[in-house]
Amino acid sequence: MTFDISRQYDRLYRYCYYHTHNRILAQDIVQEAFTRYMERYGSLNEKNAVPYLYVIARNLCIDHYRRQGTLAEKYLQSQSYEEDQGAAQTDAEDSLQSFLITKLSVQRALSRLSEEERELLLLISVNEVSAREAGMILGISRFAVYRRLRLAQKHLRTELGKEGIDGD
Amino acid sequence: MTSEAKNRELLLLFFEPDEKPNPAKKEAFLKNVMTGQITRATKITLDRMLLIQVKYIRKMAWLAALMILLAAALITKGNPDSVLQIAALTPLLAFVTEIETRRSYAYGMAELEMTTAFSLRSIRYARFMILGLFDMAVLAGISLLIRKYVAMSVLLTLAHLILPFLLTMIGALLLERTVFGRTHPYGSGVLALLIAVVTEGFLIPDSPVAIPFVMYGFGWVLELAAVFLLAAVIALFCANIKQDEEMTAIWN
Amino acid sequence: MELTTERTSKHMELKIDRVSKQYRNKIAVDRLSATLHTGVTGLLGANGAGKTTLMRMICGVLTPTSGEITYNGMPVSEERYRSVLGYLPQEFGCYPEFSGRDFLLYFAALKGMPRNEAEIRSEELLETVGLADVSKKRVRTYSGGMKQRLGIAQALLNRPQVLILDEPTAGLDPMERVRFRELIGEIGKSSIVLLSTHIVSDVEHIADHILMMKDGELLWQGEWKESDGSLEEFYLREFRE
Repeated sequence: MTFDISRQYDRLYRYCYYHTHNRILAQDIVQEAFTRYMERYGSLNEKNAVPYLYVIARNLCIDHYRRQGTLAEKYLQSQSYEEDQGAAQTDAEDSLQSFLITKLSVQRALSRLSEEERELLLLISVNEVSAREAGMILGISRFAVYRRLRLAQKHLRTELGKEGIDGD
Repeated sequence: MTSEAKNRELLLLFFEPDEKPNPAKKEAFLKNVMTGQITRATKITLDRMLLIQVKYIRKMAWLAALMILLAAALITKGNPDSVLQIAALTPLLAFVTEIETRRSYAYGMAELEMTTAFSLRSIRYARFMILGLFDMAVLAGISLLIRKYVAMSVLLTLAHLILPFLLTMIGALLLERTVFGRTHPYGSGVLALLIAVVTEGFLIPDSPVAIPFVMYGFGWVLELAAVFLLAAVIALFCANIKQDEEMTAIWN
Repeated sequence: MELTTERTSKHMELKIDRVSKQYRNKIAVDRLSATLHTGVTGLLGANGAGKTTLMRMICGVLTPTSGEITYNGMPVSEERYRSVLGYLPQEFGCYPEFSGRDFLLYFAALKGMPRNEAEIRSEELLETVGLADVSKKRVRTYSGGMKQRLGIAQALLNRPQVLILDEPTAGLDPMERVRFRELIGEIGKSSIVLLSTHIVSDVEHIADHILMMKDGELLWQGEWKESDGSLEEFYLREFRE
């Protein structure tokens, strides 16, 4: 397997952006993570390059929360989805409208999941990190990852169902 | 669409960042990572350099040394008296080795190799070191192999074998320094043949030019000469490498 | 949080400071100063104007008789500089047993790239310069244009920050020239690119900056805009004197 640095950069950025909701900060954290990783391990062709990068990035995000309060949480709380939906409905284009509605529904459903469930879904289902690597990043066993991921997916389906979206 | 892919699509609605990273900043950064600007402060190590060059030395250069080993085995079997005629073959080995270390010039790769992380200088050092040590190991091996058939010490046998080798090397390195030598890379081949013939003349037991060093106990002179010539080869080689810059300019 | 990434995105600058190169009987470059920035710089001049000598000095292949060349303050003679440098000499050869792919892998190894990374990058570049289908053929069998494209790919292996191309369009056919210009324009967005040529049209549309050399001296330098008229005419006028 080879390391696609550009792609991993984007994925790590997605992860950091989710945690910080700040473009400049997220990008700085991604680059700092790569820099620290390279200083420590020298080559991206290490077997565990991906989990190490996430761990470093995660710690940097946590450092940031400590100072700022949990931004992801804050962001979720501050979003008024009902209002946004109202705004969306005035939009002229049908396809765009239905896209926005779906987007808002997904956001509402996910906001009712726990922080850990969201993190697992982001790492594994979106960023395609392996279960072994996710375990390393979160500090739990691979089997715990499987179990909790299954639960998270089930929970997500339920919540999506409530929003009228067929999660399968 | 599989349910997994659909699931991912839905999740991306939530997780996809509203703002993309700054592309110029990303590109510049990745460039830094790829080009080793951001890296553990490691120098490219000598062993890694040597490994790369071992891989890129032509089979011919290795074969030349092994051929001499084979010749030694055959000659020793057929006619134990003339074992030292093996020495007449070593100038050819020196020629092949020298040619191999300056292939960069012969094939116009010098300028490109100069601008890599290793630089042409270290590439030539590496090739010379690898092949030189290999050749000498083979010659030492031969000296051990034939010790039963010669009436002198292993060290003195080695001196006999290595003297023509070193002489050719010095000649070839001196030629390298001249414009003629640079434009006629195989000129040192003629020199090698010449030395081979002379060596042959010296070593045939009943030849009138045979010098009875060994008989009268002056073997140490040969050994000393070998050490001296070895030092000269190394010094000359280093001097030539220092000249690389001008050589490349003239070469083009 | 103390973020230190700034050190990596610093401004790029290649500074040539009163550089001369003297051979026994001839001054090839005479007290030349210029500063290159991110973007494409075209180096124009007739044959024998000293372009190649200047480029060799920028690459650290030749040492100036006097003066200094630095990249972001780092002398170009340093090993660190070579890791950010890509160079296409005016003429180059190839070991006879090498295929196009071998050629790239060899230089990738010499540039210190790990093997698997080198393989991906080589494939990618062979694709970019349109040699993917002949990558296993001996370089000896390549046409002049193909060999030139291979040389360009070689120079791009390590994603250089400083890319020096000596007469890169020599031997390229008109279609290849167009593709080459697109490629260089793209690279110029994030790297310092210096390319020499004696054909004005090669640089007229892609170079952000022009240097004109004659008899080892800088005759003119600056930006050339469409509104300034024909660069070709200007060039010819300058060189007639």
